[in-house]
This record gives sequence, structure tokens and C-alpha cells, in this order.
Amino acid sequence: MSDAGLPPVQLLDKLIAEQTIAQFAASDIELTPLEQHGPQPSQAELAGMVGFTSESMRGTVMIASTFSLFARSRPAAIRDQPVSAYVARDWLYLRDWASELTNQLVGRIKNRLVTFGVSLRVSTPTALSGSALAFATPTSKRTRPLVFTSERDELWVFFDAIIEPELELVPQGEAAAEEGELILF
Amino acid sequence: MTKILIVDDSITVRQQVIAALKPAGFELAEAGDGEEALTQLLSGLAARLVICDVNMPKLNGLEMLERLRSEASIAATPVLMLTTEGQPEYIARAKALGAKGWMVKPFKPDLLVAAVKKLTA
Repeated sequence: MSDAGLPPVQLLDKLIAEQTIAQFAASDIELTPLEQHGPQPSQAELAGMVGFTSESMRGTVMIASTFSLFARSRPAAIRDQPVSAYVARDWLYLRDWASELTNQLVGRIKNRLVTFGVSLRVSTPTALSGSALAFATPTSKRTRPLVFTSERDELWVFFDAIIEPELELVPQGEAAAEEGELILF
Repeated sequence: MTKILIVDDSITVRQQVIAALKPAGFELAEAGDGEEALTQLLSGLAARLVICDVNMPKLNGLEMLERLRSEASIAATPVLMLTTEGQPEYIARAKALGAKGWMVKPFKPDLLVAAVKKLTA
């Protein structure tokens, strides 16, 4: 079945899963989708969030995982700088990275939605940290979190959106620039 | 030494840019948002190039670019946008405001170094 035949929510799920895997692959992290999981993350310690709005949907993208996974997913050039869960400033440092990582994931999603004529406006990213973070079930139609594993860590991706019933994801727009692309004027 | 101003609200991204450009012989200055960048430039920071994010608090990258162009003393400063945004209308707006280029995160360090060398030659 081609993407064009999928209902919007399923197409969004597919797009978000693909872009999450691609985002972490850029940091040399291989993610495996986890179909069977509990109702809440078992070990979430950090979460990054970005709000978005458009004509056809609005909500929040949040990614939640462990200190370890966020530390391992830093850009290669600075990944060797040691961080410790026992050092308070390292939590602040990884909160900064969790924010940016979420921002980059939302950028990917946003850039793919451009081709469907959906233009998202996004907030500046934020993050939170704690121990065994738990999240309320989203109130919108888009309720199922996407869960992945890497080594012993789980990654939870929440796309908590209110989607207008008339939303149709039909390819129609000009393609956005790709990640890593350089355009000189 | 050629001085580059990197403007991004993420410390991690600023560190990543510094890790790419410092070994190539560039001197780096940092700002956490567009307002801080303008303050530094108007205070006399002689940057040969500004590398600027778009989605930032206080003053975003495109707003900063617009303000920079309206300040005669710094209006000619070259700017390379480095952002997660890839939307054609954003890129067109940056071009219209006189940006020299647009790069989408996550970026390849070698490509950034090559672009910065070209834009500061």
C-alpha cells in the first residue's frame, strides 16, 4: 500500500517513526521499534518538548528517555566529553541537548509535511528531567506513543495533537530542503 | 585569525560548531539568541561571518537578519543560516534579506567548514 492511501493519523505515525529512526541514526544510534510495551516509560529521566500549530493540527511533540540514551545521542564531535548522572550541571547540559534533539526531530517532521501542504509553526524547545517520569494519556485522537529501544534504553515519542477532521495528507507542495543540505546564495 | 559569531540557543549546537571550526583555524564568539548577537556586533565584535539559527527566543534568526541589515555599521556582515527549518518560503525570505546561505541541521562538520571557508575567503 502506498503512503498516499493511508489515513492521516497512520501516515503521521509512519512519518514520525521514520524520522525518529533517521534522527537518531544521524547520531550513530540504531533504534528498533518496540510493539509490546507498558502504558508508561519504565525509565524516563529526560524529556524534550516542542509545541506546534497549523491550520489543520496543533499540539506537542515530546521525546522521553534515559540520561544514557541522550548522552549517547550527542553529535559525534562532542560525544566523548564525559557526563555523569551524579553531576547536576550534566543534567542541565543534557536537557539542552534533549531540547535541541526534539527541535531537530520536529524540523524533520515539519519539512516532510511541507510536501503535503501543511505548514507548522513551532515553539522554541524546552526540556524537563526527573526520575521515572510518567505522562498522562493524550486527550487527542492521536493517542498511541511510538516506542523504540536502543541497547537497554527505551525511547518514547509522543505526538499529542488535535487534528482537524478535514485534514488530508495529499502530496501537493514544493519539497523542503533536506537535513544536511547546504544552499549557497 | 578570522572571527565567526555562532548564534544558537542550544549550547550543544554551539559546542558542535566550535568543534568543527576551531581546528580549521577560526576564532569563535557565541551568542544565545538574536538580541545578544546584535548587541555583540553593535558593540564592535568584528565578525567576518555570522552563523545563525532561526528558531530562538527573544529575537529569532530571520528577525535578527532583518535588524542587522537595518543597522548601517553592521549591515554588510555576511550571514549563514544553520537551522532545522527547510521550508522554501523561509529560505526565500533569508535570501531576500541578504543571507549568504542556508544549511539544514543536523549538519556535516566537513561541509560546514567548507562553506565557512568559502564565505570568508
